[in-house]
Formats: sequence, C-alpha cells, structure tokens
Amino acid sequence: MNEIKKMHEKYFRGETTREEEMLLRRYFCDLDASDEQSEVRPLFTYFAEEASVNEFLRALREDPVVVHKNKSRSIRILKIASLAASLLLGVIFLNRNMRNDYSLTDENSVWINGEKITQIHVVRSYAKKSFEKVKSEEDLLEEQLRFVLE
Amino acid sequence: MKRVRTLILCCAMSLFVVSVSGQDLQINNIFEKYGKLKGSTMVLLSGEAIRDYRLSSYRSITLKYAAPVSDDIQQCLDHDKRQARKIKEVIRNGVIRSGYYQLPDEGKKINRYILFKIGEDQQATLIYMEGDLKSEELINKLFLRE
Repeated sequence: MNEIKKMHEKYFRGETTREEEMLLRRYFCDLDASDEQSEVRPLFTYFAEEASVNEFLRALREDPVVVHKNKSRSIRILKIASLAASLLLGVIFLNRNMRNDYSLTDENSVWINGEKITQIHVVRSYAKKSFEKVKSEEDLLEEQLRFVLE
Repeated sequence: MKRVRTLILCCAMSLFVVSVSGQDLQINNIFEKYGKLKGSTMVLLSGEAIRDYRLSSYRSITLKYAAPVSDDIQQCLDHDKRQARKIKEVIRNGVIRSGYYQLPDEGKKINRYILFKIGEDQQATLIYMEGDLKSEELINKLFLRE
C-alpha cells in the first residue's frame, strides 16, 4: 500500500516510468471505492476509460472504411451504369435521326433530276407512274391458267 | 465485380441490338445516294396523302440501270431479301430482273414491302412501302389486270 502511495507521489512529481504508470492504472482500476486512496482513483481510471474510448473511436473510424469501400464500389457501378445508359440513349437518338434521314418522309415531294417539287398532285402522279413501272407485265391469273392448262 | 461484368455485358448487348436494328434496310442507301442526282426520279410520300391507299409511307426511285448503280441495287436487294418473304422474283443470269418482297413487321404490325423491276427501257424502279395494305391486295394491284 505504501509502495503505491509512494509511486503515485512520484507520479505527481513526474518521475514515474511508463511501467509504473501502467501498474498504477491497473491498481486503481481494481481499487475498491471505500479505500482511502480512492480520491485519486478517477485520475487513473480516467486514463483507462480514455483508452477504451480511444479504442472505440478507432473501431468506429475503421468501420466506415468498410462502409466506404462498399459505397465506392456501388458508386463505381452507378457510374458505369449511367455511362452505359447515356451511351444507349445516345445510340438510340442517333439511330432515330439516321432513320429519319433515311426515311426522307419529312415532306411529300418528288425529286426530278435533283429538283424538288412539292405540289401534291404532281407527287401523286409520279408515285402512280413509279408503281405502274413495277407492275408485272404478265397477268398472274393468265400465267397460272396457262401453267395449269399446259 | 460479377455484377459489374453482367451490367457491362447487358449494355453491350443492348447497344449491339440497337445498332443492328438501326441498319434496317440497305435499300435506304439507294434512296440516299441516288435520289437527288440528275437522271433520277425519287418520290417521297407519307401520312394523309396516301392514307386512301392504306399506306403510311411510300418511297420510289426510278433511275438508269447501269453500273455502278446496278451493282449497288443488286447488293442491297440481296441483303434485304434475306430477311423477307418472297412474293415473286425473276432472276435472269444471276441478276434480279424483278422482285416483290414482304419484309417482317418487327412487331409493329405494319406491312412492309420492297418492289423492284428493271424495265425494257433499262430504267430500274425501286419502291419501298409500308402500311396496312395486305399482301393479297398488293398482289391484286401488281399482278392482276383491272
């Protein structure tokens, strides 16, 4: 007991070694509250509590690292997904534009030797002419009847 | 990581599907390339103007059938007819002289047709049309004299 008393007096003088300080902490942590030296106890138990608080804080700091890792992964996935989605939208948009260009159906017109005519009766008459041109010269019914009769 | 890979794969596949479906018809190139040139007649009709014919879009081009136009047309027809149903086709010396094809509707429930013929005057006419017009009606119009 005296030894402990001497040691904590030494502590207040700032002459204790690290081992002695640890011994003191351990001693005061186990000390009964009714002990006469219990008035200096909070000083040493504070350090012990501080250590556990530090440990807790350290654990807390480490935990977010795991969370952060998961978060960064999901952010990466989101980034890739949004990039792919915007690419997809871009392609669809381009595709539509290209189709519109190809379809050339913005306006009813006829192009004759590079000249555009939009008068609808002219356009219609040229459409009829073009359709007449692809018509079969032979009558399918006649052709088939001939085939059957042969 | 596996999820990311799956995601990338899905995106790549959808990009592929979109880009492939965009290359729909090769004959579009013929209208694009030669439609506004001297010696060509290109008709573009859509909407109300052709509703009476049960069509929503009509495109035709008539031009002189000579190289390189002839090669281009034959190549485009060869490509497009692969996915189409043949209504009637006349091939002479390996050259499509006339062809009437019905294209798949791609789930849009629209009938699409490609009509082509080389006339005796060596003028080729290529037509693309789409609408409600049934193939039977088209056959009547094309092959039966009124």
